[in-house]
Amino acid sequence: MMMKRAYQALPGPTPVRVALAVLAILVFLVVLNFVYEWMGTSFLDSGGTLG
Amino acid sequence: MQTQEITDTDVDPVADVDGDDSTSGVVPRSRRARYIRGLGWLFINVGLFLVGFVIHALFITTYFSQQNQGALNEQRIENNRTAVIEEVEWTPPTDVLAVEDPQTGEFVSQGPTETLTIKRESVPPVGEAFAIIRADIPSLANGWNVVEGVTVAALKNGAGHMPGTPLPGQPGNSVIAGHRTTYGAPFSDLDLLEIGDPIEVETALGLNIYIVREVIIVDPTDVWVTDNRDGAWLTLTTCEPKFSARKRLIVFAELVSGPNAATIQGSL
Repeated sequence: MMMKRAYQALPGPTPVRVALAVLAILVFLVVLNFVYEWMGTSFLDSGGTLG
Repeated sequence: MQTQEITDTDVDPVADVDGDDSTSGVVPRSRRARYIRGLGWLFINVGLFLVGFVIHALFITTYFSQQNQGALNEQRIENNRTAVIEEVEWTPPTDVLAVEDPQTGEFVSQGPTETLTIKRESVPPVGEAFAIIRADIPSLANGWNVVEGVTVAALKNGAGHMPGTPLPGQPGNSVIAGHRTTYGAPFSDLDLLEIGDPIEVETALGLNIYIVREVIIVDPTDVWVTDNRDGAWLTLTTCEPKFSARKRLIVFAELVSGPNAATIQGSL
């Protein structure tokens, strides 16, 4: 429901809304990937580096 | 006619906004119920975030790392083919302390004057595969490519050779770091290595065989493990324990066979 409301809040006609939604999802996934990589390197497995 | 008054404290003004209530209009709901509902959503989202992290760390990173191995194999073969191999003069280090020159007051090393000839290969570009490491443990049984550098990007592809230390097969202490849990986890089973086990590292020079001499656990700040050593050594470093970057597992192995092994051992 939250996602539906967020989608409906997007401006413009349907094609523009879909494009914006896809862009938002891609940005979210990229940011999430960076966060996961940082968490993995910091807490789970640094690759054995020293110093 | 009796009417019931609904006060502001027990009415949820947004209860109907998401449309999941059957009635249109306000629905009585205590403030406590709303907090519990919000807390529930928070836990669900945190849970999904953590599940995503586990999937990313254990499976997605490994998938992409293993997908890269084919390209890295080709890159390693090409780098080994084009590597410049030359014979260079090498003076073995000495344990004799430097002494003070009475005339100049400077400390002068009293090392041996003997120079030997060893084979040396050119250092590969950072991030590129140049060697393959194998050992009789599950994670290294089929071999993993060794890339130059220990940056986050370099270690995504496999084990990484620490710049500033000699390449494998060269005199000194060659240091290779690798992931234990993520990105294919090439050093996942490093704790299974025991003293006397062989480790093979194949470079442009040829096959180098090391024998494990010591396995220790240190703090991440113990950089002394990368210090230079007499002879030819291979130092493998990874995280300890699994699923934690709290400590480092260190494996020291000594070169016993390879293109330079006889020369280096003869100098000791």
